Amino acid sequence: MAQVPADLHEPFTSRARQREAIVFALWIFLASELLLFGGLFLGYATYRLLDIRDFNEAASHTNVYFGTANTAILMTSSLAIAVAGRALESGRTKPTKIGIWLTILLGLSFLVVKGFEYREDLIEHLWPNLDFSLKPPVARIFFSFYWITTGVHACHVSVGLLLIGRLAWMAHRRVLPQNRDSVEATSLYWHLVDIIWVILYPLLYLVGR
Amino acid sequence: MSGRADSATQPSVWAIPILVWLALLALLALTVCAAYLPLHPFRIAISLGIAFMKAGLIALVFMRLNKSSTLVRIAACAGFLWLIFMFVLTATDYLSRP
Repeated sequence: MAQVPADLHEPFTSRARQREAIVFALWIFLASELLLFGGLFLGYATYRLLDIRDFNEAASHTNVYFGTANTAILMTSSLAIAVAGRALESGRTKPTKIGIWLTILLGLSFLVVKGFEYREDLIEHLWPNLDFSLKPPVARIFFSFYWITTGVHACHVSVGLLLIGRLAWMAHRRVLPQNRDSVEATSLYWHLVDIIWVILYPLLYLVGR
Repeated sequence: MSGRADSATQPSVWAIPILVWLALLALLALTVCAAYLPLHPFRIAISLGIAFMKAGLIALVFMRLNKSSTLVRIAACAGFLWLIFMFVLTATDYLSRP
């Protein structure tokens, strides 16, 4: 009987079937993630209809520089992990490692920029409590969406970083080629986190310009 | 890695992802510029349109939907389909109120 390849895991009998099952399952999970954020987007859309002018005015208080920088950072991290996955499949471990570490670095940069932005928002009293600095009632609703969506997204970035950290650990132990499907699954998740941010960006940072 | 040709003869793993990344950055620049133009009633439609183009590029190339099996494509479209139902059914109420 032929030897079982190192990257084939129970209960699968072929690599192709294993990859298909993992990618299929991941996309079902990603569809559920899309619906989670979709509910928030829908809430945003309906509350915006209450008073479009005041809603947009509230959105002008977000910092477009931080938002744009973070969009570029996250898209670049998507490039890094896409290259890592493709490099691993063509048997090149060095670009794979570089891609994984670059993704971690960029993901952390995203959270640091977000931290600076949150700090500025809090200084400007944009947390919708009693000290909230904007008058219109829908401004409060806009900033509730701002904090909830960016907060939930930042949680996703943090989980993604833990998963990519796991890949870096595998690369360190030189077991990454046997776990190439883990790289694919993790990068699919990371790309979705990027897509969510790409949709959030105009809703939070551009509508008020 | 055993039995691989040297890197010069292999197809570049960078080429297509970098092209997509450049397109994403160009779209980002475009959407920032468009946000400051006086296009008032269409502004959110334009910026969301560009966002969906960016999302499409990421999904098709980075997430490899362009090379996926039909099963995976259906799974990917399923979430999007239910999202459309949710938005359309809500809009029939909110957008039709006097």
